[in-house]
Amino acid sequence: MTPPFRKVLIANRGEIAVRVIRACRELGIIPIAVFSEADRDALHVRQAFEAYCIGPAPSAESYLRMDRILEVAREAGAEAIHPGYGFLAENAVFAGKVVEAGMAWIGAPPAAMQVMGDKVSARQAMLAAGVPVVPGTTEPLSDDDEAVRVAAEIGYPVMIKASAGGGGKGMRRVESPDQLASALRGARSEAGSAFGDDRIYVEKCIDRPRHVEVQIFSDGHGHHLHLFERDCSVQRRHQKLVEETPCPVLTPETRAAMTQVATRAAAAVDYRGAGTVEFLLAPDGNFYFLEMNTRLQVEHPITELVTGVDLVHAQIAVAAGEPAPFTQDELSQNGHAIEVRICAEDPANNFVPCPGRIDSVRLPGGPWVRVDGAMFGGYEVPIFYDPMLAKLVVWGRDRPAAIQRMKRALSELVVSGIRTNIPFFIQVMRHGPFVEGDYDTGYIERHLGKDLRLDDGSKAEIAAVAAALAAFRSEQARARRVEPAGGPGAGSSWTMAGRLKRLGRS
Amino acid sequence: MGWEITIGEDVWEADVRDLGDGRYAVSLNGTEIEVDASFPESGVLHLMRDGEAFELDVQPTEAGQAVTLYGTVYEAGVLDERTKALGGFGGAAGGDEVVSTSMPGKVVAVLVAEGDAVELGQGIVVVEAMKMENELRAAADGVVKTVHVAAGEAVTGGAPLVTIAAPEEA
Repeated sequence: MTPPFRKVLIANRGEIAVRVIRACRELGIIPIAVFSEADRDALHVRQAFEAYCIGPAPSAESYLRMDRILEVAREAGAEAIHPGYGFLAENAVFAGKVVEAGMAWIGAPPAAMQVMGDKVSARQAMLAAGVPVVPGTTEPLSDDDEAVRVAAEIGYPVMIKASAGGGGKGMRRVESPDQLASALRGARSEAGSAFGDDRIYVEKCIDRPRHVEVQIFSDGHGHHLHLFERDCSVQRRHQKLVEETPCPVLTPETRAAMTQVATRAAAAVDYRGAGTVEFLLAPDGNFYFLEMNTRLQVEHPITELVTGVDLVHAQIAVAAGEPAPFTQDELSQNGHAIEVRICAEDPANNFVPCPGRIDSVRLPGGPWVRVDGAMFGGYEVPIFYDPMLAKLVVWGRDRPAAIQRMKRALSELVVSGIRTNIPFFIQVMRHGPFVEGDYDTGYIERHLGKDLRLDDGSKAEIAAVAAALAAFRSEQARARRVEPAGGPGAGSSWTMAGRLKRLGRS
Repeated sequence: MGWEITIGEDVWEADVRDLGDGRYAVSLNGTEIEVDASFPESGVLHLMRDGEAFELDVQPTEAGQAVTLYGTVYEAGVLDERTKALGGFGGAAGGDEVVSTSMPGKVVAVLVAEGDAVELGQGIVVVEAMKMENELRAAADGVVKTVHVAAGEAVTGGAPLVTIAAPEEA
């Protein structure tokens, strides 16, 4: 088989760069890595066939430098660029420049990115395509009378939000008409002082929603396909932590409707490649368009595990002009897959990022365990980028089997030298409501520190035993250095010293 | 030779006797635990206690040992009898707690003032680093002794932000 491209440049770093390099190597494509000065020793650089430094550590001076990346791509003879996710992945300007330079863009069409990249235009395009959106005003409210009218129309409770919004500022939940006036006043003044822009709009309040998204795939030959859903409701501050597929509560009817709507959304923007349509799923089974991510998603591996499709292979194929390597009829959801995002952060201390040097890594193995990562023993986690180290992904015949396998894999995974959120995930996998599938986007906030706790300290005694033995070890090692053979205290300690020698540090 | 081992709020007087043949008697506050111990690979300690097996990662730190078991990192403070007699390490139990950040960043807010009484887990300083705002919290009850930084200030990794004295000292 002739590879679709001879050389592909990967304009990214970390685990996703490694993921794309793997696909390139499997397809017989020469992968080209780019890296910042902080990433000289990064795994993506080590695994690529060619690698070029594109600037200093801060992303704005390296991974976001379109000119440098294009220059490297041209000089190295790349025929295509894969942007991964983040950085330039959803940058329509960069995609345009890549195509202008005569290379293939392994990503979404720039026009689709533009429409979906803006809240208002995305909402209007979806309304026009008959995709359900959260009921409310698209435009900022002109006055209080309009707010009263719209709120009555869509039904209470409603949410007042700042047009310039973000971070919950200028947001008010309103239960009934009599609270509306004071909520509008409060939201306006808060938005004004926070953003210098006091425009607000009103939206129906969806209580306890789940975040359910549909993986879509379009080939530019008129095929808009879907690869079913992913439930990403386990989030903390809008950061996804655990993802699974199938969604444990989605009925076959809702799944059929949601996936159909998602392909309609893709068709409406003439999509090509892999993309994700995100929905809020209300407890009553209604779902509403949230946004479309015009790129490969972090959590794509769980979809790959249940469908058997390699999404990066497929992305590369359609970027080369080929039709989708599968038809809708060939796709099915087989079994259950779960992913957790292993991050350098301390779950016992409010998930504060903990970069630093990793002493050693032991990866889990065994059946149906996949690790997409970029960490290794001796790796210094840089402070400049996302703290995600790896994604641990498992497959099981059904959901209980997948949860059991995830617990097992988490207990095998060791990242020493820095703190990680591994113990947090072990607790989630044991936590009643998660095991029951009874969760929504408020899950972490509702349970963390209450019935979802980190270690109860029951193993602290074993840790103390280990610490004592380690102290004993160094004491013996010191004694051995100070008093050579025959001195007091030698004798029986030689057994321990002999064992300790294997540590290579005594 | 013995040690004082501190993990969180637990403190043990520990001692180790080598029983030979890979077996050790570890005494914690007078209770003796007999284990079979081995170091099969670098940084790994494998323990067996009455047939129950544990694999732990053990890495030396400034104050003692960092022990990882089932993903949880136990920061064990280890004081030998000599050091303990001299009053222990600077930051060990009973002394001042220095709130600091492990990486460079910018102080977004200081949530306490000098003289404030603080509780375990209370937010002390908010620092922005790695594109995220992080609240650093008190590791124990105490009284704010010194605030070293102000909001808006850039800080380097490890720089002291706030010093908290144990309540009886203040």
